[in-house]
Amino acid sequence: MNEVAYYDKGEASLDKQAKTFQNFTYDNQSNGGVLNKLSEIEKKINDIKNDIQTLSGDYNTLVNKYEKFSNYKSVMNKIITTMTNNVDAINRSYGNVVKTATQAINEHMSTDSTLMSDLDQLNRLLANGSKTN
Amino acid sequence: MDQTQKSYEYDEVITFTQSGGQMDSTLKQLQTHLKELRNLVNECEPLYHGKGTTSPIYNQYKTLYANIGNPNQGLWNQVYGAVQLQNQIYNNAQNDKRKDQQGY
Repeated sequence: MNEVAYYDKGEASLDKQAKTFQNFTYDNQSNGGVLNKLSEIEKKINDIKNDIQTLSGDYNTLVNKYEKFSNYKSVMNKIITTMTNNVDAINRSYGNVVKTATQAINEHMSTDSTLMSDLDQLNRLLANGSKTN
Repeated sequence: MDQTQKSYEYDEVITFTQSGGQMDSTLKQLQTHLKELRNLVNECEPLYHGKGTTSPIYNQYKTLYANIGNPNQGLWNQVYGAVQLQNQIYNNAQNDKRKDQQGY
């Protein structure tokens, strides 16, 4: 069988694990800090959602045009459903990271009032996340 | 064999599923975005994390990584399935074209 499809085997096979740290850190520098990073993650999750939609459209194009490929429909549906479930789980975890950050900021607000603007941004990220869920 | 005797438009299927075709571009884009997401989560961890493996933040990062996983789990597992499917459809269309050309 000719393997024509692009497959990033190197990236796919990387062992991706959460890191452990010895203490709590919240880096709130205005440029390149955690808020910027969370915002970038939110955008990337939305990009991935769009990719899955496009892939679903590609599958429908094939099945609708050529009846011959309708027997692949159940496999295609399973791939899209599982991908959607995976990205929902990613979105929930991302939302929970933002929520824990919001709680942490609330706790530290009494000693550092400059964190108020961070709280505003985190709440905006939370609101956006719930819209896309 | 002329155009009217084709059993179906396999040339369109071949174009759609070949390397660099529409389906391939979609899957490539998805893989690029998955890699970028992994890099972003990787960059986020040192900026915001809890203490040890019992912190709620650690568990959320753990779930994120599980879903952008490796070939055996999460989205990469599904990408692998989609890649196999694309290869299969492309090869089937090529075989059908060959059969028609040989007059089977």
